[in-house]
Order: sequence, then structure tokens, then C-alpha cells
Amino acid sequence: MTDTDAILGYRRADGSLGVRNVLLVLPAGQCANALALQCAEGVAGAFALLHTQPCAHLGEDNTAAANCLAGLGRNPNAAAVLVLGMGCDVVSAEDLAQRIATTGKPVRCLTVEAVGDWESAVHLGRSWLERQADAASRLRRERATIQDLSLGVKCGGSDATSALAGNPAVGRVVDRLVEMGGTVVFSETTELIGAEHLLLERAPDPRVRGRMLASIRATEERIRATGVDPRGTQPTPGNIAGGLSTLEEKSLGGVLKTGSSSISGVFPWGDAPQGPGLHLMDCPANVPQLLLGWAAAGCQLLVFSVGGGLPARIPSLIGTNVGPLPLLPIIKVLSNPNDKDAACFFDVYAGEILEGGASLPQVSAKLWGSVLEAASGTPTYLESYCFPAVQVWELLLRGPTV
Amino acid sequence: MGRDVVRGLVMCHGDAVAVLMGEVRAGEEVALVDTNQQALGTVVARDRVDAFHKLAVRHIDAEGSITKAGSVIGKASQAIAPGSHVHVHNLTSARV
Repeated sequence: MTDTDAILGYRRADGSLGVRNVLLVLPAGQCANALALQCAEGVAGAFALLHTQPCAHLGEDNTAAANCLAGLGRNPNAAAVLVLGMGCDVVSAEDLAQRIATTGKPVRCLTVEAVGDWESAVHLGRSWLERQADAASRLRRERATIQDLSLGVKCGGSDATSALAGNPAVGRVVDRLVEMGGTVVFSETTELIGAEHLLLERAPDPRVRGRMLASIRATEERIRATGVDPRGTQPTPGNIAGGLSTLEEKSLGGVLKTGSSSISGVFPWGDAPQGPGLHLMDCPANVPQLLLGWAAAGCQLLVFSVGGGLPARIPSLIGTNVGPLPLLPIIKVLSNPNDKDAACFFDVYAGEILEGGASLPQVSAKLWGSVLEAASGTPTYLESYCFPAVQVWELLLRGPTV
Repeated sequence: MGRDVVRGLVMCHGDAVAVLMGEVRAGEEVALVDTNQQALGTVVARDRVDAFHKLAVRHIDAEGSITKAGSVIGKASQAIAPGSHVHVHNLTSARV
């Protein structure tokens, strides 16, 4: 590692590294969403993470939701966490607070039932957040190494150019980070159907190969159960017109963003990877669920590679209505030279590889620089853009509801 | 006025195909480059091929595996001559 690969972050009590200082206001269930908004309103750095957890989910979905919410609170980018509940929440606010508090960060739990009434909960919550805002403003970034970084990688709005420019550039960043002892998480199990052969040969541990194959097969079965054939429908007519010929060619394009590193592990949505290296998070390709999953897995940053077309021409993020999750700053990469005029919505323009103006190593070096800068506090494009709406984040739901 | 020679990007050395950076007509020369923008020679297109579609950079036997970016993306359903368009008419999935 060279000196220039250092980053500046906030060292947390558990040894992890925050690259942002979010005061997270976390409802245990959707009934406390409004309470979270009222507590966070007007407090600098406070973010109310509204989500869809109801009382109607069952069994494993509730377990995964509890894991996810606890993971969000444990994310190093959360400096302090206010957990809110009604008191009758299916995912217990007290349990969440306990799981988050083991990181050593400031945690407060308030339920309407324990406090006595809604207005008192708002008052207590706001006062606590204001004190935490003051404390967080005194924290200073310190020198850290890239081993402290956990990076999510995602592609979307993909076209033929994604596989040629953005995704290979992301892949080189992934390989460099993994080689230096960092952590990388890729996901979108649905996109791996047909790409099994590309991934299995990269997992030296047979147990990891087994779990990866089981995750992909279970995903395919869930899709088939809806009457859709995930193999026969890919590539789509639009993909074929764009130049993609086979299912494995399309899948390869997405897999390229994971570089060529060995795959060290597989973990379910809501959980976190065990140790550094490259890991698969088992989750379908639904953006809000994915972003929550990456943040819950402890990722501090995400690289999002976009091909081109309409998905490149919106300032926010495809698949969400407002853009980023403050817990997970996102670095956007654009590939298609035809959409170069929309490059202002992106952090890195990779289309130069296709125009002949830059080599793949040059573009990936630029992306590496963006990752280090974002990890050291420079706002990404999405962070500097003010979105007018509020996102209610969708939790993963696999089973039936009551 | 002649137009610029279209480049064909060879993602990994040894790939059977290049991806065209622009549309080419039959008989037109394509300049092959690698991802470092280093020249890898030329190939003459045998077909009219759209931008971002694939062109064979060498002879591919019938039933032979076709590699792109170092990975197998399917097999040739017929013998493919250098400079031919490689797409659904001569490349089939080995996974479906």
C-alpha cells in the first residue's frame, strides 16, 4: 500500500471506521415512522430511516428484518442511533437497541408505551438527538487504511457499454481493494442465473460454492413459481438488438464488476460478511432492498455502475424515488458515450474507454481516487444534490403475510 | 470524405471476438485495440455490423467455445470466419 491509499475517517468504539457521521433515527416498525420524522426534524445530521416493516410479516422475514435494522444501526457511518417503537412492534425496539449498543456507540431506545405518550417521546427523542449532534460535531477524522473499508458494488440501467467500460473499471477497483485487505460485497442473485460457472470457479472453498449455488437455485425456483422462466426470457429482445447474444454473455457483463478476486463468502440479506474479501449478499435486484442490505452489512460506500439511456438521464438513482441512503454514500459511474451530456449526474465517466481517450487502467485509477475521496469525506454527486421527496425504504419480503 | 476507422475492443487477449465501437460496412477495415488502447492489428468486416455488436477476430470452429472478456459466452453453431458478425445466428448459449 502506498501512502496515497490512506483515507480519513471516524474511528468508532468497536474499531470500525465511519466515513460519515449520521445520527440515525430508526423506527422498529412502520407505525413509528412519523415519530422518527418528528424527532429528526431540524436536528443537524439526523436522518429518519423510514421503512415498510409492518406487523403482518411472518417468521423468517421478521428475523431478516430485525437483522437488517440492527445492522443499519451498527453501520460505522451511524455515529449515534435513536431506536423508536410503539412498544408492540413485531421487531422489538429494545432488542434492536441492545444489538446496536454492543458496538459501543451512543444508543437510546424510546417507545410510546414506555414513555407514556407520543408527545413525550418526541420531546425526549429530540433532546437526545440534539445532544448527540453536538457530540458528533466534535468528532475528528483520523488517518486510516483501506482495510477499514467495505464497499458495495452494483450495476443498473445496464446496456452493452456497461460490460465494456464501467463494470470492468469497477472490477479492477474491487480486485485492488480485496488485495489490500478490504471488503467488497456484490449481490443481485437474480442476475447470477446463467453465470454460475463464472462464479463457482472463483470460490476456492467448496462450502462457499455450495451456498452460492443454493442461493442462485432458490432464487431461480422462486421466479419459476411465479410462472416466469428466467433463462428463456434472457437476454431480452432489447439486449439482443444491442448486441448481446446469450444468457451467459449478459450475466458476464454484470459479473465483470466483481473483478477476478476469489469469492470468500455468501451471506443472506440482513446479515454481514464474516471477514474481509469478496462476498455475495443473497438478495434480488431491487434497489431499495439492496441499499438497505449493503448498509446493514456494514458497507460504508457503494459504487453504482450505470450503462446509459434513460437511467443515466435522471439526477437521482434508478429504482428509488429520491436517491441515496445517507448511511451509504454512492459513487455513480457512467459508461455510454451517447449519454455523455448527462455525465454531470455522475462522479466518474468511464465512456472514455470506448471513445479511445483513456485506457481501462486510467479510468479505474480515477474511480479508485473517487472512492478514497468519498471515504475521506468529499460528498459524492448524489450527496450534493438536494432531493425533494422522502423515501420509505422497502424491506425484503419473501414469504406470505398474515 | 472517408470516415475514421472503427475500433474493435478486445476485452482480454485471446478473446475470439472484438466489440465494435461504431457501425461497420462489409469490406471495411476494423482497428483492433485492447483495454489499454494498444493496437492489436486489423480485421476486415465480412458483414455490416452495428455498434457494440461482436466481430470474430479469428477463425472459430463449429461447436467451438467463444470467449469474450476471458470467459466463455457460448458456442459456435457453425464455423465462423474472421471478420464475421457473431450473434444469435451463429452463437448459442451453452447454459439454457
